Amino acid sequence: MNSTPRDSTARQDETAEHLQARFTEEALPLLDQLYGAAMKMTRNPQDAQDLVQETFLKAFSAFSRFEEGTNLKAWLYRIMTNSYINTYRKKQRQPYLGAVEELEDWQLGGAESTTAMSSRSAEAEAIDRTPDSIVTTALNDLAEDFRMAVYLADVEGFSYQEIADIQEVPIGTVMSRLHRGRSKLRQVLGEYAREQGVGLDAGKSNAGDTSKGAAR
Amino acid sequence: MSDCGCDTAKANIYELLRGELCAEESAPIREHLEHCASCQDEESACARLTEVVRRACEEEREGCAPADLRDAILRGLNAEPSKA
Repeated sequence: MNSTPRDSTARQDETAEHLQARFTEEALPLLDQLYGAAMKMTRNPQDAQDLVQETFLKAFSAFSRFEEGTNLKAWLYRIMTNSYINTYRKKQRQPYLGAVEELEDWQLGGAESTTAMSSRSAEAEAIDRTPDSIVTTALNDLAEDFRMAVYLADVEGFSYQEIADIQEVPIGTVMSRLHRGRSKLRQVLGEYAREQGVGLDAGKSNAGDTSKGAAR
Repeated sequence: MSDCGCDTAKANIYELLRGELCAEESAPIREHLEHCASCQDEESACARLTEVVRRACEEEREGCAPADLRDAILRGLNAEPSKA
């Protein structure tokens, strides 16, 4: 922490050289983290590099207006999310699948009904034993807004308010994205575990599993 | 303080684990969790899910930014001074 208080007049007088030094010192160490998140957004190394570079340059040109003491990491993520939406989402020309999320169906408890584990503790153990590659693939397969909400919450540890600021949506939408995204992950991980024969309860296999088994 | 029941507990466990609830909201859920095995299992499944997602992503991104990306950014900073 910088112990010398600096008022706004002093900040305006900050030399370009000093500003650049401060940006390099404070923002650049977050490069790996931002690149990881950019990879999660774009799922493509070249796009991720372009996005991170654009993010840092935009952030630098606005850095004199960044309020010291506020959350620099969240600020950079917000700039990156914005850049992504404005540039890359358009470039990919994929139909945007974010609109259905406004249905608050996570409150219906979808996750509970999708698991056919013999017990919840079996489910927790099965989740724990899922190989990293399966988890990563399941996360990458989520719709983008859900994927990034889960990533920002569970990997980066941002609070709901911070995620709401980064994604520029209300907190209720963040909660909806998180619950829906995580329900889907649980479902996929549960299916994987059943395929591996983990946590199977022979007496309680559901209709879906039976038909799947018969088709083999 | 009264017990909130399974539905409220299960719907809010993730928020509880993340520290998103105020004391007033979390107390009845904690109380419920103390004696409900089913909700305790839900709590551990919820916590494990966060752990495996974090573990998988951290593994994946370990030192992952290419070295020339950093150089390209530094060159960009020199070329485009911040507007003071």
